[in-house]
Amino acid sequence: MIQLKHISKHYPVGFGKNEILKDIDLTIFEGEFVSIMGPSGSGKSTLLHVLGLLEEPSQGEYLFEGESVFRMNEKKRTQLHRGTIGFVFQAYHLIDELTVYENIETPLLYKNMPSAERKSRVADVLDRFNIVAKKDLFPSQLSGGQQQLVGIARAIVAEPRVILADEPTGNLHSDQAKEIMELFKHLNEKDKITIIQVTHSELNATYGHRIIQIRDGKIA
Amino acid sequence: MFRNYLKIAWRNLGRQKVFAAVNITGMTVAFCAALLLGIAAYHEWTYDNFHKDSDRLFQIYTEERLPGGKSLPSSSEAVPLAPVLQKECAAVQQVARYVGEVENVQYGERSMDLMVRFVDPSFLSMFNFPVLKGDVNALHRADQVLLTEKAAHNLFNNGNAIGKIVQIKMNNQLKPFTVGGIMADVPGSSSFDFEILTSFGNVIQMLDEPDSWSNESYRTLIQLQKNASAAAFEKQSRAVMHKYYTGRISDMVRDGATPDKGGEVLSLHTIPLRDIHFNEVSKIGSAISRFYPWMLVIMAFMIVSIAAINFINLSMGRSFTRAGEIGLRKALGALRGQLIFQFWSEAFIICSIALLMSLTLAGLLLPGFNAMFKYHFTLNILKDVRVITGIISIFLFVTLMAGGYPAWLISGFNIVEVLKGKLRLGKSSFMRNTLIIVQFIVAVLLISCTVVLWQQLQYLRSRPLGYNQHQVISLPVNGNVNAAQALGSLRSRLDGNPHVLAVSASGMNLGKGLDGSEANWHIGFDYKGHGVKMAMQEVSYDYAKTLDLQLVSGRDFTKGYVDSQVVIINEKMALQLGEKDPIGKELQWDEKPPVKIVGVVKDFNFKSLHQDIEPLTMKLVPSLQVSYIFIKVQPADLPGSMAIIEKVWKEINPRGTFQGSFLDDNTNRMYKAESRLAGIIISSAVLAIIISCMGLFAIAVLVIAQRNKEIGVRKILGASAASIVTLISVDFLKLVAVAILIATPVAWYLMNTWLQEFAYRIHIQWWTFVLSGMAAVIIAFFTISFQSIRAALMNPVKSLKTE
Repeated sequence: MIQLKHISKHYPVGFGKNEILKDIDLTIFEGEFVSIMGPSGSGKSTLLHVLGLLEEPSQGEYLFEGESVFRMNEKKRTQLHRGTIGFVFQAYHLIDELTVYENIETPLLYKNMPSAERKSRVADVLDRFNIVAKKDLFPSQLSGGQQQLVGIARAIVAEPRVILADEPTGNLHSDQAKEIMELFKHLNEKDKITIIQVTHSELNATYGHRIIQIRDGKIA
Repeated sequence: MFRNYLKIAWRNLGRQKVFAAVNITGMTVAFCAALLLGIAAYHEWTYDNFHKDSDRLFQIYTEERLPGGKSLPSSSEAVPLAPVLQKECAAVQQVARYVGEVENVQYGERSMDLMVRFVDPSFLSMFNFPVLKGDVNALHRADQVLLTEKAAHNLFNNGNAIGKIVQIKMNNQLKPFTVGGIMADVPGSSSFDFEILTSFGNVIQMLDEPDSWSNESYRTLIQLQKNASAAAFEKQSRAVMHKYYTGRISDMVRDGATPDKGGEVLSLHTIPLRDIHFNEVSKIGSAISRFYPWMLVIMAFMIVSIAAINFINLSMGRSFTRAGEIGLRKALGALRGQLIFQFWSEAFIICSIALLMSLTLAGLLLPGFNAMFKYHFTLNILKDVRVITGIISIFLFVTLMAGGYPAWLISGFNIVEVLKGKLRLGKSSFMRNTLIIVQFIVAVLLISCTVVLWQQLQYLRSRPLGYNQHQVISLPVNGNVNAAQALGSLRSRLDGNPHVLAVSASGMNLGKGLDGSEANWHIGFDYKGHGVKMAMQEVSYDYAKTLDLQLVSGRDFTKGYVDSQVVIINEKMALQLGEKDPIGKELQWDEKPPVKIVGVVKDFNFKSLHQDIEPLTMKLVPSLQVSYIFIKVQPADLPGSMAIIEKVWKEINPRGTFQGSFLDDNTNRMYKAESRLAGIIISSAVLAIIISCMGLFAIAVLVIAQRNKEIGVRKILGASAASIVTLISVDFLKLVAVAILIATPVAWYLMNTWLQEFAYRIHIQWWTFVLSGMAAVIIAFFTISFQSIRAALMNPVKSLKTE
């Protein structure tokens, strides 16, 4: 499903350059649950951003379902963001001015989904995550775990085929973290969603099928 | 989708109260000011635009070439010119003469002063002044008049006017006229103003020599044939000038007049109807500078720009807090266009609120605005489709600039950096600084212009004019009295009154009196083989004494002498005559026998300080039908003296109105245009400064919020409160200093150009700009200090904890 070939990423620093990713080859198959691990600064977040089309590598090729994403235009890439890829962030990144319901609804608005279908989808997700009672609250009124729950709900409401999660439990205590990881596992097994997560925690990594270790920008 | 945007925008307004308040207040005030200024400019630009075929209508004027390449344009034409043009110029379809003044009009017991205009019947077919009731051809008979609805309403107290006889005082006699019809009131945007129209034949009847080409006093209007051009008319009129002004042209050539490009020394030219309002030569209505409405628009533009700059700066400043949202939306699949649209819609909401509030505010302020700048506007102008489209398009443009630009900038940020919270606004702080500089350039420019304008106005008002302005009352003679007799009885009644020092009279006022009229009278003649041109006044006894004119030699006109055909001249006139000792010399123009010079007075400014002093001759006319009586009173009790004179005048002229005023008020009135300009610039300057400071204040809030941690660390390391205030203020004050450096030369250039309009003007002093600059710095410093002092006094532990 996802193929990275000879991906490198570096930033110019003074007269030299700072290499973040060095010649990465990676293939991820449909339905996999992959954990990316590594020490701070090893380049794991950058790799995730490259996978999510948020950052462009300096060199190399990225095939998404056999199609080269760097040859896609802005519109096509936005289509991928809208329908195929869902993001979950460490800092949740909910929109403070919107309620829980509206936050979950936003990706569907960008997909131009008709109002009736939108309502039923959001209602489904709220129900499934047991947060119906909280739908009119603002993010600041929720606990961290609840916010991340909303973040995941928002990521899956558009029924993506891949979820990219950047340390989804980094700001949560262990009970909440467990709950979130169970949810990911469930989504992977029941809904067949491909999941790629970046994590520090050995425990969380074990939820996945495969662990990719990154050290100094290289797959170890 | 749009509802979602609106929701966010609305909640943002609630959360960010300082910014919402600054933006909405700023925009409201700016839109309101722009609206009022725009209405004023619109009014000036649409002057005289209600006539059909207006591109074929012109006023004509004569250009007289002078020795040395200068020329003297005058729109005063001779009586026979109109019929001659009609007959001899093929390009002319119709001609009308136009003259008149405020006259006393009576019906039964009612008496009022109305604007009476004498016109040819063709006037009504050339211009759109509809006759509503009665005889459309009334002007073909000399004994009929047409009244405007309002005049008829006042004079006849709502009764039927047509067919009634009214008495109009002309040449000191009451003359009966039949009301032939009622006309629509003259629109406020018309240069032509009248309350009564009557036939020009009445003027011809009153003249001794109606066929004279040397009596040039009448405005003349032409309508060209459908396919004729103004140039064609000017060409055809050359033959007319040569045919009827043969003698004058040869005299002018003899005196060395430089011919124009076409080789003519005396030629006719045209002023298009639309330009009459902006033309100094026309003398129909009061001309305003062509630059004036543009200046209003520029002011409006500057004020709106300043408010828009606030908007842009605050939006960009807030992008720190909004960046997360933007990055996230992009990750969720928002296109850049959608983000721009979202931010634009927020700007749109704020501007819409501001627009609605400003319309309400403009409606409330309009009466005050009218009173302040002597206008008569209503919001009816807003019904004009062109005005509505104009407002909407400007509105959309402003929202696009104010909301769209920051959105475009923010939406281009790299998503990852935004999400990581790494956003640095290095580039946009350059942009922000530039915009702050622009705001302060405008503010400094307006402050310096205000100072120079104010200095010049003070100078105009306080410059000694060469006559006593403070103790002399000017009293226009109106109503149904014989002016010569009225002067006589006033003299005898005031004789011996301890308040009154002297009484005299003249055919012309000094300055601009309460009757609002100004007049010019020039005469040219030959003296010892060279041409002489002079301003002329007819005056009564004790003229120099009453006005405190300084006699250089000779004497005043006093009753002790048996004087006939005597004049007093000013020094400029003596110089022009080339006589070292002009006393006793004789001058001869149309007057027979020639007049003798009995006195020379020091030059005095009998016209406004826009003009240099001209050669002047004052002729004693003992039985003068005076227009203005001058009374010099004791300086001790000026209002008391005014009251005494009013009482005496009411006894002599019970049906007239008392319009006496001190001469210093009259001279101030001459600078109404300048005062109005100063008023508009001062108000704009105040607004510009307030809006700029509101923006600066909000920016200071943002910047300090961003530097909170730095300030905290510095305090822990031992920085004093004062050093922190300086740290923050200096960054802003540098911007203000740059603005001062840029604005000063521009202000100097603009004001220097403006001062060229005055023959008497101040020199711009360097300290004017130092003062204006310091004012800007101080204002800016105070604005910032509210925030910087608070930041400096804050407990550093608190600011470091939040990180």
